Amino acid sequence: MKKNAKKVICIVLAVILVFSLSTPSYAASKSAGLAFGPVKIGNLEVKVTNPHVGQVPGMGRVNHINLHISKTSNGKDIANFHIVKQKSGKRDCLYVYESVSKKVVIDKCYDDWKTGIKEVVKLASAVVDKALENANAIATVAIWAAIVVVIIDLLVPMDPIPVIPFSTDGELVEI
Amino acid sequence: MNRSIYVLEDVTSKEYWNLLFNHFAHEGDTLEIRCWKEEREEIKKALYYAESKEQTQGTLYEVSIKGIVTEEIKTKILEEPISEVSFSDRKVVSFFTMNVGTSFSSEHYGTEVYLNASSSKDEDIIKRALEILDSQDVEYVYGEF
Repeated sequence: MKKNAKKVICIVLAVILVFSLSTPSYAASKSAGLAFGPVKIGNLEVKVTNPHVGQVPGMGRVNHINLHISKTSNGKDIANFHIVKQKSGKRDCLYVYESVSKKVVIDKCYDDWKTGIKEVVKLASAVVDKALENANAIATVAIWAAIVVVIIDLLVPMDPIPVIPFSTDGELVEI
Repeated sequence: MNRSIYVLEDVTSKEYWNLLFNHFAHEGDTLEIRCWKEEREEIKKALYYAESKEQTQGTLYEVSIKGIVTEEIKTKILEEPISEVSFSDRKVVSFFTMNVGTSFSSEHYGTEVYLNASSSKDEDIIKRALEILDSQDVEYVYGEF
Protein backbone atom coordinates (compact mmCIF):
# COMPACT_ATOMS: atom_id res chain seq x y z
CA MET A 1 0.00 0.00 0.00
CA LYS A 2 1.28 3.45 -0.84
CA LYS A 3 2.62 5.59 2.02
CA ASN A 4 0.08 8.38 1.44
CA ALA A 5 -2.86 5.98 1.43
CA LYS A 6 -1.63 4.54 4.73
CA LYS A 7 -1.45 8.03 6.20
CA VAL A 8 -4.99 8.85 5.09
CA ILE A 9 -6.31 5.62 6.57
CA CYS A 10 -4.48 6.32 9.85
CA ILE A 11 -5.97 9.80 10.09
CA VAL A 12 -9.47 8.57 9.30
CA LEU A 13 -9.16 5.79 11.88
CA ALA A 14 -7.78 8.28 14.42
CA VAL A 15 -10.71 10.62 13.92
CA ILE A 16 -13.22 7.77 14.13
CA LEU A 17 -11.48 6.46 17.25
CA VAL A 18 -11.52 9.86 18.93
CA PHE A 19 -15.17 10.46 18.33
CA SER A 20 -16.26 6.91 19.08
CA LEU A 21 -14.25 6.79 22.31
CA SER A 22 -14.66 10.35 23.38
CA THR A 23 -18.32 11.15 22.95
CA PRO A 24 -19.64 9.52 26.10
CA SER A 25 -16.63 9.41 28.40
CA TYR A 26 -14.00 11.85 27.18
CA ALA A 27 -15.98 14.82 25.95
CA ALA A 28 -17.41 17.41 28.28
CA SER A 29 -20.37 19.55 27.26
CA LYS A 30 -19.94 21.44 23.99
CA SER A 31 -19.37 25.15 24.37
CA ALA A 32 -19.92 28.02 21.95
CA GLY A 33 -17.07 28.82 19.63
CA LEU A 34 -15.32 25.49 19.86
CA ALA A 35 -14.13 23.64 16.78
CA PHE A 36 -12.93 20.66 18.83
CA GLY A 37 -13.49 19.44 22.35
CA PRO A 38 -13.40 19.85 25.18
CA VAL A 39 -11.89 16.37 25.17
CA LYS A 40 -10.47 14.79 28.28
CA ILE A 41 -7.01 13.22 28.20
CA GLY A 42 -6.50 11.68 31.63
CA ASN A 43 -6.53 14.54 34.13
CA LEU A 44 -6.41 17.18 31.39
CA GLU A 45 -8.83 18.74 28.96
CA VAL A 46 -8.02 19.95 25.45
CA LYS A 47 -10.07 22.23 23.21
CA VAL A 48 -9.63 24.21 20.00
CA THR A 49 -11.59 27.40 19.33
CA ASN A 50 -12.93 28.54 16.00
CA PRO A 51 -11.14 31.50 14.39
CA HIS A 52 -11.88 34.81 16.10
CA VAL A 53 -10.49 38.33 16.22
CA GLY A 54 -8.59 39.14 19.40
CA GLN A 55 -5.32 40.27 20.91
CA VAL A 56 -2.28 38.14 20.24
CA PRO A 57 0.72 39.75 21.96
CA GLY A 58 3.28 40.73 19.34
CA MET A 59 0.68 40.76 16.56
CA GLY A 60 -2.09 43.09 17.76
CA ARG A 61 -5.78 42.36 17.27
CA VAL A 62 -5.85 39.60 14.65
CA ASN A 63 -7.84 36.58 13.52
CA HIS A 64 -6.51 33.49 15.30
CA ILE A 65 -7.47 30.20 16.91
CA ASN A 66 -6.65 28.90 20.40
CA LEU A 67 -5.43 25.45 21.37
CA HIS A 68 -6.20 25.30 25.04
CA ILE A 69 -5.12 22.81 27.72
CA SER A 70 -6.45 22.83 31.28
CA LYS A 71 -6.65 20.57 34.32
CA THR A 72 -9.93 18.75 34.88
CA SER A 73 -9.51 18.77 38.67
CA ASN A 74 -9.75 22.55 39.07
CA GLY A 75 -10.14 23.96 35.54
CA LYS A 76 -6.77 25.70 35.78
CA ASP A 77 -5.20 26.56 32.44
CA ILE A 78 -1.78 25.05 31.86
CA ALA A 79 -1.27 26.19 28.25
CA ASN A 80 -3.05 28.39 25.77
CA PHE A 81 -1.60 28.55 22.26
CA HIS A 82 -2.77 31.50 20.13
CA ILE A 83 -2.21 30.39 16.53
CA VAL A 84 -1.96 33.01 13.75
CA LYS A 85 -1.77 32.15 10.07
CA GLN A 86 0.74 34.18 8.08
CA LYS A 87 2.12 34.22 4.59
CA SER A 88 5.59 35.26 3.41
CA GLY A 89 5.74 35.22 -0.37
CA LYS A 90 4.58 31.75 -1.30
CA ARG A 91 5.53 30.20 2.04
CA ASP A 92 3.07 29.29 4.78
CA CYS A 93 4.02 30.75 8.14
CA LEU A 94 2.78 30.43 11.69
CA TYR A 95 3.07 32.73 14.68
CA VAL A 96 2.17 31.01 17.93
CA TYR A 97 2.05 32.76 21.31
CA GLU A 98 1.57 30.72 24.47
CA SER A 99 -0.02 32.91 27.09
CA VAL A 100 0.62 30.93 30.29
CA SER A 101 4.41 31.03 29.77
CA LYS A 102 4.08 34.38 27.91
CA LYS A 103 6.36 33.20 25.10
CA VAL A 104 6.30 33.31 21.31
CA VAL A 105 6.83 29.59 20.79
CA ILE A 106 6.75 29.53 16.98
CA ASP A 107 7.49 32.29 14.47
CA LYS A 108 8.44 30.35 11.42
CA CYS A 109 7.69 29.57 7.75
CA TYR A 110 7.06 26.13 6.35
CA ASP A 111 6.73 24.44 2.99
CA ASP A 112 3.19 23.41 3.95
CA TRP A 113 0.68 23.99 6.74
CA LYS A 114 0.68 20.41 7.89
CA THR A 115 4.35 20.54 8.95
CA GLY A 116 3.70 23.75 10.89
CA ILE A 117 0.60 22.46 12.63
CA LYS A 118 2.39 19.26 13.57
CA GLU A 119 5.01 21.40 15.34
CA VAL A 120 2.29 23.25 17.27
CA VAL A 121 0.67 19.97 18.27
CA LYS A 122 4.08 18.56 19.23
CA LEU A 123 4.56 21.48 21.64
CA ALA A 124 1.06 21.02 23.03
CA SER A 125 1.52 17.27 23.49
CA ALA A 126 4.81 17.95 25.32
CA VAL A 127 2.90 20.17 27.77
CA VAL A 128 0.31 17.42 28.21
CA ASP A 129 2.96 14.72 28.69
CA LYS A 130 4.51 16.70 31.56
CA ALA A 131 1.21 17.02 33.41
CA LEU A 132 -0.54 13.83 32.40
CA GLU A 133 -1.83 11.11 34.74
CA ASN A 134 -3.78 7.95 33.90
CA ALA A 135 -4.42 8.45 30.20
CA ASN A 136 -5.28 5.88 27.57
CA ALA A 137 -2.20 5.98 25.32
CA ILE A 138 -4.01 4.92 22.13
CA ALA A 139 -6.80 7.43 22.64
CA THR A 140 -4.24 10.15 23.36
CA VAL A 141 -2.41 9.54 20.06
CA ALA A 142 -5.74 9.53 18.24
CA ILE A 143 -6.78 12.80 19.87
CA TRP A 144 -3.60 14.58 18.76
CA ALA A 145 -4.01 13.23 15.22
CA ALA A 146 -7.57 14.57 15.18
CA ILE A 147 -6.41 17.96 16.48
CA VAL A 148 -3.90 18.25 13.62
CA VAL A 149 -6.73 17.62 11.14
CA VAL A 150 -9.07 20.10 12.87
CA ILE A 151 -6.48 22.90 12.99
CA ILE A 152 -5.54 22.42 9.34
CA ASP A 153 -9.23 22.59 8.42
CA LEU A 154 -9.59 25.82 10.37
CA LEU A 155 -6.42 27.48 9.07
CA VAL A 156 -6.81 26.73 5.37
CA PRO A 157 -9.77 29.10 4.77
CA MET A 158 -8.38 31.86 7.03
CA ASP A 159 -6.89 34.95 5.39
CA PRO A 160 -3.18 34.97 6.17
CA ILE A 161 -1.46 38.01 7.63
CA PRO A 162 1.53 39.07 5.52
CA VAL A 163 4.85 38.93 7.33
CA ILE A 164 7.96 41.01 6.76
CA PRO A 165 10.37 38.98 4.60
CA PHE A 166 13.48 37.50 6.24
CA SER A 167 12.00 37.73 9.75
CA THR A 168 10.39 34.37 10.11
CA ASP A 169 12.89 31.57 10.41
CA GLY A 170 12.70 31.42 14.18
CA GLU A 171 13.30 28.41 16.37
CA LEU A 172 10.86 26.44 18.45
CA VAL A 173 10.83 27.52 22.07
CA GLU A 174 10.37 24.95 24.78
CA ILE A 175 7.75 25.96 27.37
CA MET B 1 2.04 50.80 28.54
CA ASN B 2 0.10 47.80 27.30
CA ARG B 3 -0.78 45.45 30.13
CA SER B 4 -2.44 42.06 30.10
CA ILE B 5 -4.09 40.02 32.83
CA TYR B 6 -4.81 36.38 32.08
CA VAL B 7 -6.82 34.65 34.80
CA LEU B 8 -5.85 30.98 34.88
CA GLU B 9 -8.58 29.57 37.08
CA ASP B 10 -12.14 30.07 38.23
CA VAL B 11 -13.09 33.23 40.07
CA THR B 12 -16.05 33.59 42.39
CA SER B 13 -16.74 37.24 41.63
CA LYS B 14 -16.20 39.65 38.75
CA GLU B 15 -14.96 42.37 41.09
CA TYR B 16 -11.55 42.65 39.36
CA TRP B 17 -13.23 42.89 35.95
CA ASN B 18 -15.74 45.50 37.13
CA LEU B 19 -12.98 47.62 38.66
CA LEU B 20 -11.07 47.64 35.36
CA PHE B 21 -14.13 48.18 33.14
CA ASN B 22 -15.45 50.97 35.38
CA HIS B 23 -12.12 52.80 35.22
CA PHE B 24 -11.14 52.28 31.57
CA ALA B 25 -14.59 52.64 29.92
CA HIS B 26 -15.77 56.22 29.53
CA GLU B 27 -18.97 57.71 28.23
CA GLY B 28 -18.57 58.31 24.50
CA ASP B 29 -15.96 55.55 23.98
CA THR B 30 -16.57 53.15 21.12
CA LEU B 31 -17.94 49.79 22.24
CA GLU B 32 -17.60 46.60 20.23
CA ILE B 33 -19.12 43.36 21.47
CA ARG B 34 -18.19 40.17 19.65
CA CYS B 35 -20.19 36.99 20.13
CA TRP B 36 -20.07 33.56 18.54
CA LYS B 37 -22.85 33.24 15.98
CA GLU B 38 -24.55 30.45 17.94
CA GLU B 39 -24.85 32.64 21.06
CA ARG B 40 -28.36 33.92 20.33
CA GLU B 41 -29.14 35.17 23.84
CA GLU B 42 -25.82 37.01 24.13
CA ILE B 43 -26.31 38.62 20.70
CA LYS B 44 -29.75 39.81 21.76
CA LYS B 45 -28.25 41.27 24.93
CA ALA B 46 -25.38 42.87 22.99
CA LEU B 47 -27.84 44.52 20.60
CA TYR B 48 -29.59 45.95 23.64
CA TYR B 49 -26.33 47.29 25.09
CA ALA B 50 -24.88 48.66 21.87
CA GLU B 51 -26.48 52.07 21.47
CA SER B 52 -26.27 52.14 17.69
CA LYS B 53 -27.95 48.72 17.43
CA GLU B 54 -25.68 48.14 14.48
CA GLN B 55 -24.84 44.54 13.74
CA THR B 56 -21.83 44.27 11.50
CA GLN B 57 -20.39 41.43 9.55
CA GLY B 58 -17.83 40.09 12.02
CA THR B 59 -16.09 36.97 10.76
CA LEU B 60 -17.21 33.54 9.60
CA TYR B 61 -17.87 32.47 13.19
CA GLU B 62 -18.44 35.77 15.02
CA VAL B 63 -20.90 38.61 15.08
CA SER B 64 -19.58 42.10 15.81
CA ILE B 65 -21.98 44.59 17.37
CA LYS B 66 -20.83 48.17 17.65
CA GLY B 67 -22.07 51.08 19.69
CA ILE B 68 -21.03 53.81 22.07
CA VAL B 69 -20.55 53.59 25.84
CA THR B 70 -23.19 55.49 27.79
CA GLU B 71 -23.52 55.74 31.57
CA GLU B 72 -26.66 53.60 31.38
CA ILE B 73 -24.95 50.83 29.42
CA LYS B 74 -21.93 50.98 31.70
CA THR B 75 -24.11 50.62 34.80
CA LYS B 76 -26.02 47.69 33.29
CA ILE B 77 -22.83 45.87 32.36
CA LEU B 78 -21.36 46.46 35.84
CA GLU B 79 -24.54 45.22 37.50
CA GLU B 80 -24.59 41.96 35.56
CA PRO B 81 -23.86 39.00 37.82
CA ILE B 82 -20.84 36.81 37.14
CA SER B 83 -21.60 34.44 34.28
CA GLU B 84 -21.86 30.70 34.40
CA VAL B 85 -18.78 29.10 35.85
CA SER B 86 -17.67 25.64 34.88
CA PHE B 87 -14.26 24.14 34.29
CA SER B 88 -14.86 23.63 30.57
CA ASP B 89 -16.63 26.86 29.98
CA ARG B 90 -15.18 29.51 32.28
CA LYS B 91 -16.95 32.85 31.94
CA VAL B 92 -16.59 35.99 34.00
CA VAL B 93 -18.82 38.03 31.69
CA SER B 94 -21.34 36.83 29.15
CA PHE B 95 -19.66 38.31 26.05
CA PHE B 96 -16.76 36.53 24.38
CA THR B 97 -15.04 39.81 23.45
CA MET B 98 -15.62 43.44 24.47
CA ASN B 99 -13.48 46.23 23.06
CA VAL B 100 -13.85 49.66 24.60
CA GLY B 101 -12.05 52.55 22.90
CA THR B 102 -8.36 51.79 22.60
CA SER B 103 -7.66 51.16 26.26
CA PHE B 104 -9.76 48.18 27.33
CA SER B 105 -10.24 44.80 25.74
CA SER B 106 -11.93 41.90 27.50
CA GLU B 107 -11.52 38.55 25.76
CA HIS B 108 -12.44 34.92 26.29
CA TYR B 109 -15.40 35.94 28.47
CA GLY B 110 -13.33 38.25 30.65
CA THR B 111 -10.60 35.78 31.53
CA GLU B 112 -8.13 37.76 29.41
CA VAL B 113 -8.04 41.54 29.80
CA TYR B 114 -5.79 43.81 27.72
CA LEU B 115 -5.29 47.39 28.89
CA ASN B 116 -3.54 50.50 27.73
CA ALA B 117 -2.33 52.15 30.93
CA SER B 118 -1.26 55.72 30.28
CA SER B 119 -1.30 57.27 33.76
CA SER B 120 -0.32 56.46 37.32
CA LYS B 121 -4.05 56.27 38.15
CA ASP B 122 -4.42 53.54 35.48
CA GLU B 123 -1.51 51.65 37.03
CA ASP B 124 -3.04 51.99 40.51
CA ILE B 125 -6.34 50.55 39.31
CA ILE B 126 -4.58 47.58 37.69
CA LYS B 127 -2.64 47.02 40.90
CA ARG B 128 -5.90 47.01 42.86
CA ALA B 129 -7.47 44.52 40.43
CA LEU B 130 -4.48 42.21 40.93
CA GLU B 131 -4.81 42.59 44.70
CA ILE B 132 -8.43 41.45 44.42
CA LEU B 133 -7.32 38.32 42.52
CA ASP B 134 -4.58 37.74 45.11
CA SER B 135 -7.08 38.06 47.94
CA GLN B 136 -9.27 35.44 46.23
CA ASP B 137 -6.24 33.17 45.86
CA VAL B 138 -6.72 33.10 42.08
CA GLU B 139 -3.70 32.39 39.90
CA TYR B 140 -3.11 34.75 36.97
CA VAL B 141 -0.44 35.83 34.49
CA TYR B 142 0.25 39.55 34.39
CA GLY B 143 2.66 41.57 32.31
CA GLU B 144 3.33 43.88 29.40
CA PHE B 145 2.48 42.90 25.87
